[in-house]
Amino acid sequence: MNIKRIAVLVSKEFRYGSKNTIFFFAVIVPVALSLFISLLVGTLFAGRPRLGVADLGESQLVENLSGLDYIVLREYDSPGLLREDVARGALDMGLVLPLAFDPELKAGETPSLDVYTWGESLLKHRTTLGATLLRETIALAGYEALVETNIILLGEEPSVPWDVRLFPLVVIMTIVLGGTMVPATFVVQEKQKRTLQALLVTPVSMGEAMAAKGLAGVIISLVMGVIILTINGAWGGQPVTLLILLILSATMASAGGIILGLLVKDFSTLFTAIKSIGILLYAPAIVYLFPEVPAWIRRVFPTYYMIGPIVEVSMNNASWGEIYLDVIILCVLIAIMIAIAALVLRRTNLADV
Amino acid sequence: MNWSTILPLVTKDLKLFFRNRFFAFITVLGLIAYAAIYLAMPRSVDEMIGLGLYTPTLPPQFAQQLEEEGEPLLLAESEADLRQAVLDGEISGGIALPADFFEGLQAGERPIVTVYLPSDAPQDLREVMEVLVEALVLGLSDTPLNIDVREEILGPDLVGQQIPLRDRMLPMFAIIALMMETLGMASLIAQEIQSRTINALLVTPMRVREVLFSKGITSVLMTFTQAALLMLIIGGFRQRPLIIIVTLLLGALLVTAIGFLMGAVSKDFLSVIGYGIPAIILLGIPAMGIAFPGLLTGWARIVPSYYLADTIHQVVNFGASWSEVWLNLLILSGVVLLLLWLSGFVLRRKFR
Repeated sequence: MNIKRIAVLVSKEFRYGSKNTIFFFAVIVPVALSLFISLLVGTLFAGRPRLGVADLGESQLVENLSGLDYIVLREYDSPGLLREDVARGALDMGLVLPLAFDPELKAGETPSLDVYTWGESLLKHRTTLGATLLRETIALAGYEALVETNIILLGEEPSVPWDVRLFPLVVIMTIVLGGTMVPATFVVQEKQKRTLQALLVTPVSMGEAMAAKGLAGVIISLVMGVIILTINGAWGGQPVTLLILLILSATMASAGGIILGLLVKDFSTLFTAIKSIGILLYAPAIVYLFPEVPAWIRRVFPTYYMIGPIVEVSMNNASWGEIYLDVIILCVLIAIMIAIAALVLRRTNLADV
Repeated sequence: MNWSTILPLVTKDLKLFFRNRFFAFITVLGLIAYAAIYLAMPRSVDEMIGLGLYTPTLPPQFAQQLEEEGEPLLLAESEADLRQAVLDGEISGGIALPADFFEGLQAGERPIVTVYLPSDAPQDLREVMEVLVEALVLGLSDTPLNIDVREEILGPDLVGQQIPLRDRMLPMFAIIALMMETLGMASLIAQEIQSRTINALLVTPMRVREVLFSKGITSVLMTFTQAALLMLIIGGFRQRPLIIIVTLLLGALLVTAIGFLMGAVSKDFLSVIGYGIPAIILLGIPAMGIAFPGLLTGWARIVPSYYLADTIHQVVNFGASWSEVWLNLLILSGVVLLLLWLSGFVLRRKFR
């Protein structure tokens, strides 16, 4: 292995490979996914009841409701727009406050309220919104709460918010897209264009060519991993540990990409393979979505070791002592993957492809 | 149209597909994976908060008021039973009233109500429980509140019969199954154009129209069969199967036309992917809107797959009949005809 030759090849991969569609996807998809998940967590997965208010006057109720974290409040200028949004399911409930709602309420008169409820809204959302409106309206009328509530938590299972559950999925997609797909695409592209034959006329060996492609994948995966951790504010207190883990995970992904690239004969087969084994690659991240599923299940999948330590360190601030076993397994997996890649390379005569 | 030349070409393309065992095996594996995702998803919607109550002296209005709200209430024999029910996951939260609750309330004091929640309860639920308890007690009190509430339910009221997410996602599964093989067909066409094998075919008595027709039949057969098989496994035919078959057939024609267009403008498989992924995302948007209601506004109707996804949703989840979906199918047919004509026109120019 000649480091200088590999460096030249890596720079070539970036120069020409960056025009490749998959390279583009490896850069764009993780960022887009991260932003998309932020949007979803803020709305859909939050699972909060969504209330819309069209205030025809200047009711204090709107301000009081806007301070509640457990509902999503949206204000409307027009009752018509509010009704439309309830009808299409953008809101669970819509409330039209009349012009003199507050003065009438405080004077003990009977103000009228138009309430629209989306027919597909969950009962628990209707109950929550109904109770909230009752409490806030009574508070606005000047009455105090009649009881004190003392909340006691039972059990030891921690609450796992959706952004934390989805984080492993973003991490694994970032690592797989950059680390696996990019090197695999580079290899298949060379096979299809038969450019490896030309390369072998030079002093470059096949091993060096593959190492360069793998290294390019590691670099893309690492850079994107750094960007994703930054976007998600997930560096925690151990940035160096996370960098090391990202490099190891990217290396395993990249070795997998080289094996895949060597085994498949064209892009069509490569994408069909990815399409089908994708579910297995992402399986541990899918298991993370359901905290009630026993943790050992995700450990069955080799890709768990690519994301598990990263998730533990960034989300739970785990120490080396807590993750060392997973890291050892990751290193063993990397060694196995590199050995398989070398074996496949030896058995594949790429020059004749 | 000469069927004696079209049929061998279709047979050849299908044989080529199935001769590649890896390709065939992986396609089946993909179908199984999508079906497994569907089957693994919850088959019902948990729409209740699920409350329990312990009170040494049962205030009948309290239980009655909760049940009027539609929330089933578990009445615990003791506070320990209530705690155990929370720990066992039978209920989401337990409300324990103190022994002197009513006396305290009548004396104008603020009794302390204990709420038991599982430790993994999100912060939102903790606040909701607080509000529920306060609202319930307010309901029991003499606090005057005169409001004239005019309530209107918009759309079918599905309380107690909510559509599970996996059934809302049925149109998305159908679109994924339809679109996936289209990339293969687009790639095949792109390759044939680039390697000029199409020109070789046209040296024979075959005409451009027959080549296109045979490719179209192969593509429709592949996409329709996969989508229909997936729908069969995941229960997409449980209501009005004929409408679903017609809809999937139109969907197969739609994606075939899109595949032809992609094949015409692409140079190789990578550019097929480049055009294909945005196309899949675009076509999947209306199905996303169905899976997550409220996500999209009326603009989603300009995406042709809206009429495909909405028809499947209306039929499978609401049992819609021909008279309710005919407009969707008519618009879909119009778009399909337009795209087929356009793709045929573009490909003909490419073949020349």
